[in-house]
Amino acid sequence: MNGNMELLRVEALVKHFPIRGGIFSRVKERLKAVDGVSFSVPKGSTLGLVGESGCGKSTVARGIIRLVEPTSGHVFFKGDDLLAFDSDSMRAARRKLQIVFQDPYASLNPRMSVESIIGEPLIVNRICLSKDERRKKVAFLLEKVGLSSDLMKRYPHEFSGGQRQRIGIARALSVDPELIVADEPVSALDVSVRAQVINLFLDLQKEFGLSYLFITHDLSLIRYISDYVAVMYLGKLVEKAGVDKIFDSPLHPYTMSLISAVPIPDPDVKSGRIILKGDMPSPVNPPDGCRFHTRCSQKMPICSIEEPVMKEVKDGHQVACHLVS
Amino acid sequence: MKYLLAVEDLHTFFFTSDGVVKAVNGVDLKIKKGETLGLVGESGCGKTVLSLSIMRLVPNPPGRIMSGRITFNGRDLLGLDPDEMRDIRGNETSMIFQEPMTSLNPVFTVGEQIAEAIRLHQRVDHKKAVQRSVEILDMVGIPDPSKRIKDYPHQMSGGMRQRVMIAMALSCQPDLLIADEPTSALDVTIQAQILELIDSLKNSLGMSVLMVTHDLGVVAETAQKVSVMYAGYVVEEAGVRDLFHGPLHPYTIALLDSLPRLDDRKIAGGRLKTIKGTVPDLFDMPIGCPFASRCERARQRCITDMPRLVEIGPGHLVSCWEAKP
Repeated sequence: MNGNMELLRVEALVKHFPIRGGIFSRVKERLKAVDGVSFSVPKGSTLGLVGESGCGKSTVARGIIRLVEPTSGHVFFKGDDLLAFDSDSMRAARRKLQIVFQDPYASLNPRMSVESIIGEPLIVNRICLSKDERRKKVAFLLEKVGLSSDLMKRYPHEFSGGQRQRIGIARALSVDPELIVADEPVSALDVSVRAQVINLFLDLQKEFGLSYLFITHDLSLIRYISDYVAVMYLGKLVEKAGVDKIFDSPLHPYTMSLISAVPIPDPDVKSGRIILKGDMPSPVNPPDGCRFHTRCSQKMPICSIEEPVMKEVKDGHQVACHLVS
Repeated sequence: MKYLLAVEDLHTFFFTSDGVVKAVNGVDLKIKKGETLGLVGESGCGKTVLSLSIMRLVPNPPGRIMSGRITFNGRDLLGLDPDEMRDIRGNETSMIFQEPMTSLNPVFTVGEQIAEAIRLHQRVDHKKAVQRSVEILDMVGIPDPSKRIKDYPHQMSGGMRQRVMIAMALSCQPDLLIADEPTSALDVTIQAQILELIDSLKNSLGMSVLMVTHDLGVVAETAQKVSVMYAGYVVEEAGVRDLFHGPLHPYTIALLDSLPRLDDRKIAGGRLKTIKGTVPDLFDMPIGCPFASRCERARQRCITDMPRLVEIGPGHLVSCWEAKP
C-alpha cells in the first residue's frame, strides 16, 4: 500500500473506553475497542475495513474524524496529524473528511427539510452564503445522487430508506470532501435498493476522484467495492492486502473462516466451511497472546503467550499470525 | 404426495386508519415432511405475515386472516378454536424470530423459560422439565448447559440467545419449524454456526423447516425448494437448483443479478445491475402485476391484468405474462 500517494494514514490508533462503577464512579476497567490499528488509504482508492460486530471498526471510523477522541495514536490526513489539531482546525479539516452513517433513519434530523439538511454544512463552512447560491448547490447535489431537485422542500419521513441514504451522501458531498468514511452505508437497505446505492458510491468516486474508507461486515460487498482490504478482530488488524490477495489467498485463519462463512447464492457451490467455535471474547479482557487463539483451529503453544506482530509477507500483503513467518 | 403443510389461497389483510394493507394476497405454499422451503423476499413483501398466519399469531386487530385454507398434519388450522391452536403451537409447529434479544423474557432465566414450554405441552414434573432443558441446551451446542440454564438472557451473547430460542422451539420436537430471519441479526461466523445447527437438527429429528429470509445465499445453502414473494404475492416457486440456475420471473432474475458475489468479482469499474424504483405502495397496489412498474419486460397487459401462478416446467411455477420456459 505504499506506492501511490497516501491520503490518510492511521498509525497505532488506540481507543479505550473507561467503565466506571462503585460509589465514587472510579474507572474499574477499560473496554479496549481499538487497540493499536494502523493502515493507510491511497488517494482515489477504497480501503474496505471488515470485521464482525464489536470488533471496533465503527470506533475506528469515529476516531478518525474525532467524533470520539482517540486515547492515543496518529491520524495523518494529507500529511497533518488530525489528533494534534485544535477544534477550529479540526472543523476546517472535516470539510475534506466526511462520514456517511449506517442508519438512514437516525442520521437525518426529522424536523429539517432536505434543503436545510444538505444546506447546513454549506452555511457552517461558509461555502454558499447567499440563499440562491445555496439552493442551486443543493439542487445540483440532489441530481448528482439521483434524486429530483423538486424534492428539496420535503422532510426525511417522506423518503424511503434508499432515498434517505442518498440524502446522507449528498450532505457529505456538499463540502467537496476528498475522503468519505462510510460506516455500513448499505446494511439497512433491501437487496434491490442496495445495488443502486453501491453503484452511486462507485459513480461518485469516479466523477469526483473520492477516496473511501468503507466499513462493513459484508464480505461480498467488500470484494466488490474495495481496492485494499483490512480485516479487524477484537480491536486489532489481523491481515491487510490488496482485495484479490485477501480473497484468493488469505493467510490469517480468521480471514479464512470469515470468507468461508459467507453463504454463496448458488446451490451447487459448496463452501469448504470452517466453523468457528464460540463467540468473540470480551474486549474488556481480551485473551493474552494472539487475540484469536481461543477460536483458532490451528493454535500453537506460542499463540496464547506471545502476541504476533503485523509482518509483510509479499507485495504489501501483511498478516499478524505465528503460523506465517 | 402428502404434504405436511399446505397453504391455499391465503389472504391476510391489515385494517388501518390509512386504509387496508393486503399483506398476504392469495398465497399457496406446500411443504413436504423433512423438507426445507426457503421463503425469500424483501422487507414488506409479506413473508413474516405469512409465517404468523400459519402460526395464527397475526395481531387482531388490526390484522385478520380473510380467507384461504391452512392444512397441517391433515387438520385445517383456520377451523381450530384458540385452545386447540395453542396445543399445536409450540408442540407441533414452532417459530423462531429474528431478534433473539426481544424474543426472550429478560426477568426469567433461560432454564425457566425452556422448562415452561416443555411443561405447557408435556405431562412432566418440574424436575424432569429442567433436566430436559439441560439436554436440549446441550443438543444446540451450549457449553456447560447445567450451569447456563441459570443465566438470564442479558448474560448471553446474540448467538447464544438464538441457540436458546432454537432450543425452546425444539423442546417438544415439532414437525415444522418456522425460522423467520433466524440469522439476520448475527455475524457471519455465528450465522454459519446457527445454519449448520438447524440443518443437523432437521436431519436428526426429521422435521420440516420454513426458512424465511431476505438472504439468497442462506436460501441456496439450506433449502430444497424456494418461494419468492413480492408485494403480498408468491411470484415464483421452484426447486432450489432451478431457481438459482434458471430463474424465470423478472423480479427473481433481477434480484440475483443485483447481488455482489464473493465467488465472482466483477471487473473493476463495473456496475451492479439494479432494479429501478421501489416496491409499490402497500395502500395503493396496482391492479395488474405488482412488479410491472419496475419491470423491463412489462407490456400493456402487465399493467392491467394480474398474472396467475402457473406451472411452466416440472415443479417450476411463475406468475408472469412474459415468462417462457
